[in-house]
Amino acid sequence: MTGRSEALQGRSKVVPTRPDWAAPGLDRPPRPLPQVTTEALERPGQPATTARLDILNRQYVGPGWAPPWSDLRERAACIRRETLGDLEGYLGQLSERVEANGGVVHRAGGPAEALGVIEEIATANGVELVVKSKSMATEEIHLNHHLEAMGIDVVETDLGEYILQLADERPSHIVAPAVHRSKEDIAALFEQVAGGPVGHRPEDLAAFARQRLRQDFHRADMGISGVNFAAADTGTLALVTNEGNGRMVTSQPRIHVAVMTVEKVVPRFTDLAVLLPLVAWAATRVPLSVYQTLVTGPRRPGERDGPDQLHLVIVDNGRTSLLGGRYQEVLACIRCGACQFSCPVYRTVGGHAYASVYGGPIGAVLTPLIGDPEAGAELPFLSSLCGACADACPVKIPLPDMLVDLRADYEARRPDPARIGWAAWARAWAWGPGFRASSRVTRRLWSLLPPGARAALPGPGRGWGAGRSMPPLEHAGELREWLRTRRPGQRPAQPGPGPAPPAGPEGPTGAEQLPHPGLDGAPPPAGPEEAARRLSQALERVRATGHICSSAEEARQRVADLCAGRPTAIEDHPDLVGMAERLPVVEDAWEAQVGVTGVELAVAETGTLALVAGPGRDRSTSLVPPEHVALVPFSRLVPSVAVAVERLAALEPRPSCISFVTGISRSSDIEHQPVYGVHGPGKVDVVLYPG
Amino acid sequence: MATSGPPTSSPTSPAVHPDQAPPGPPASVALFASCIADLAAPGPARAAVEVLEAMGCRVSFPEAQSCCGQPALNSGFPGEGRLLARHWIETFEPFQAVVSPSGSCVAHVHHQFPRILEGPWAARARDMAGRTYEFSQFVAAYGEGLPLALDATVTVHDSCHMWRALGERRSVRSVLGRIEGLRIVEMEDADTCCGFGGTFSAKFPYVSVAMADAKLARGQGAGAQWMVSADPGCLMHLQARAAWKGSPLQARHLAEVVRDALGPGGGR
Repeated sequence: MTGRSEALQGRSKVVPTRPDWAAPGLDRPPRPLPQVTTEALERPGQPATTARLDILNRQYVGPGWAPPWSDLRERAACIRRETLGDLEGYLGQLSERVEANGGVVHRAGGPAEALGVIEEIATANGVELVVKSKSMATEEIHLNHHLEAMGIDVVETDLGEYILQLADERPSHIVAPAVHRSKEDIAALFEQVAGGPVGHRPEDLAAFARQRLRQDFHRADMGISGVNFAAADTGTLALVTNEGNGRMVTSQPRIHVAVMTVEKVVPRFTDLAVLLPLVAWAATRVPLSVYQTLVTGPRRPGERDGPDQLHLVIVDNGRTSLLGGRYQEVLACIRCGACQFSCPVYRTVGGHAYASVYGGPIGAVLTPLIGDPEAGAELPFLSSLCGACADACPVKIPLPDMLVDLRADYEARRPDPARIGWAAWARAWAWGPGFRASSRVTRRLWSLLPPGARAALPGPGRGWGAGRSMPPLEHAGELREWLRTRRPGQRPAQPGPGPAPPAGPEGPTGAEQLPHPGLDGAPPPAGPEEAARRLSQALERVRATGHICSSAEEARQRVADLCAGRPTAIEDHPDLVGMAERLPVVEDAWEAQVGVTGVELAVAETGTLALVAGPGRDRSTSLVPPEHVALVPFSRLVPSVAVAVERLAALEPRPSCISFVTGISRSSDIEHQPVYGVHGPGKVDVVLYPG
Repeated sequence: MATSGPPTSSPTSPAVHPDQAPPGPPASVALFASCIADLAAPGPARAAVEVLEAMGCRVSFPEAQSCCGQPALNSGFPGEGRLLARHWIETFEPFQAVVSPSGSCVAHVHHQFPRILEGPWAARARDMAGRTYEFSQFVAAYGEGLPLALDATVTVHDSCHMWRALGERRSVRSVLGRIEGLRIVEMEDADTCCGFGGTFSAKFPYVSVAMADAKLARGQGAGAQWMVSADPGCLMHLQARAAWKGSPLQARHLAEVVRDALGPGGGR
């Protein structure tokens, strides 16, 4: 089955055009940050990147937090802090559960240890081809470079990450990795690897990538994924994707290696009902991403697909040393990327200018705290402290306060001559006469200096003078003169009755006290018919189609009609008994044009289908064929994601894999224009009937 | 911050709303001008005094005042920031109410003083925060009766610290809305940072200037004559960039606009 990557064919023909600070595996800025950021402003295409990011900020962050999402945000903030309160305890529980489910857990202190673990798994299993879904943890340990050095082909399968792999660049955003590239850029890149012309529309480019990646999914020995959340009580690993590559990577190869950093654990499976919607909402203002894959162990006896081996690599990389300290809360991060969109500095210079794995506000805080403390030492200064990131954060991390505190840490570590200046300044200004004297001196000096010389003075004025007129310090002291001459001899006022004190911030509420609202804010559907109608409407919003039939027979006929005599893969589901006889069934989903499945549950508010793996119920049926048809009796409808997660948590035995499917496969990695049917089905029909 | 307790966050509600304020302004207030007013931009502070007096307030100016200490804290020198915070509290504690035409300084008093000071000083800081107003908040709450008229087309730059750390999102437009003849044209991204950021403006000057250019372009795009803000820091930066480029857009402080709107016979 194994072989070399098709997707990477022609990669050697690519002539990299990126600046050195956009390279993958960068350990520290090649030059001081002020210089790198200045170069970033001059990077070709940067104004277009800024314009794109401005639009995304308005779209995703601008609307702010309103119910029910503000309530979910409060709950998530509490869940994440609860996790950090006993991180080691939850990690212990998670490891125990994953092992009990048949997985293998590896704890790694730093990148070298993590790479060693993965190298060993690859070597022991004779791995030649690896498919990867997007993972910041593997960026952090520079995994691709290591595996390539071992002679293994490693293919990034997220569309954005694939583009960047070919271009030899780092992601510039956590969830929109190629946001800095125009479609013309991407087309030129693909033409280099293809050695011929390719279409320039986003859908052409996505189709090109899909076609090249497809065989790699099928033939890879190992899939490597990240982990969005890991539920300690069940040992379930949750992965969020939109394209379907995450599902491919965790279902097709015989080995699945999931790499997570320690803080990804959450206490309970049911916490996913809060966190899965919230991370999607924070990142892209949709109630759920297209796919959530909930992996609880490797494939079980009787199952026809899914990995034989599941390895969970838990990487610390300096994080647990933050516990109990003033920066602990940074570990609450759920990697939505909203702080990056929200940050005007990030939007102006782009993510690569931070010269670190993580850019933007979260990167400016996290980078100096993990790994090499000197690598990102200057990053906390690359912020105007505007506070937009704190507003955008779905788990309420006080990023601006942390940036301020990290600046203090930076200065405390080194002998900065400016320290003497600041100390003298503060002493003078903390004394009335001292301040007035400095004001007089400033005015005098400023008046003596010719305007041209003012910007040439050493100190902050030099930076200020680059593109701005100098502040009119000749006005120093004028205000006080005006006040004196106008009202000589005025005495301080006697304390009188003051107005009511301004209202302080509202105290945070405990998660358990908050209601868990439906995601659409509407009351639950009154009956099964209404639930079916709502499901159909929700499906329409995510480009899938609901078909409400009046009887089981009509529904079965509709399924057969939708398959239209084409090769069909069908799962062995109680709702589909007798269905196979009416369809041209093929055994291998890779040969099928249509996949027909039942569902465990369907969620009316979001149009989400919950599919579980089991004997005869393959992961591939709803994933690999280009079309998916689901047959759903009304009895399987639930009103909300919260109810669905609760029901699924109670399933015994716990399925090795649960997939949430909300609509059709989608990518927004090319100029953020949506394209459909990337790796998962581009057409989803849900046939509903009373029963 | 290091506990596993409930999340911390900045306040999201304005300190004072017109509908919550007690009737009538306090008879006397202390003005905290800000170091920028003292050293480089006396105009907005003068205008603030004139408007407060027109509202019937007696305005005191404690001579010992200097700076809230924000530049030191944000540059990585919290010890110096604390020294100035304590000096600020000692200077203004005798007064029942403090008003400042600098949103960022007021946000610093409200948000950072209690955070960086310890023990009795933190309690004193919280007490001061309870009676320290940003100028537009004070005028929005107590200046309802001012006769205001001015023929101008303005756009509003929502300064970051006032908007987010102080949580004040209404008062500037509420005050401008009382000026007869004044037209507010909203610009895109009104609440996006102008790029000043204190020492950020000198440490990353080109990034800072690029952000100012974006801000000025949006203001011009909205068709405004003036970009109005309640923050001397933003205004110094925007004015300096506008002057350098010869931009027709003027950056002006809210206090000056309100003072001009008072007219010759304005006030009580």
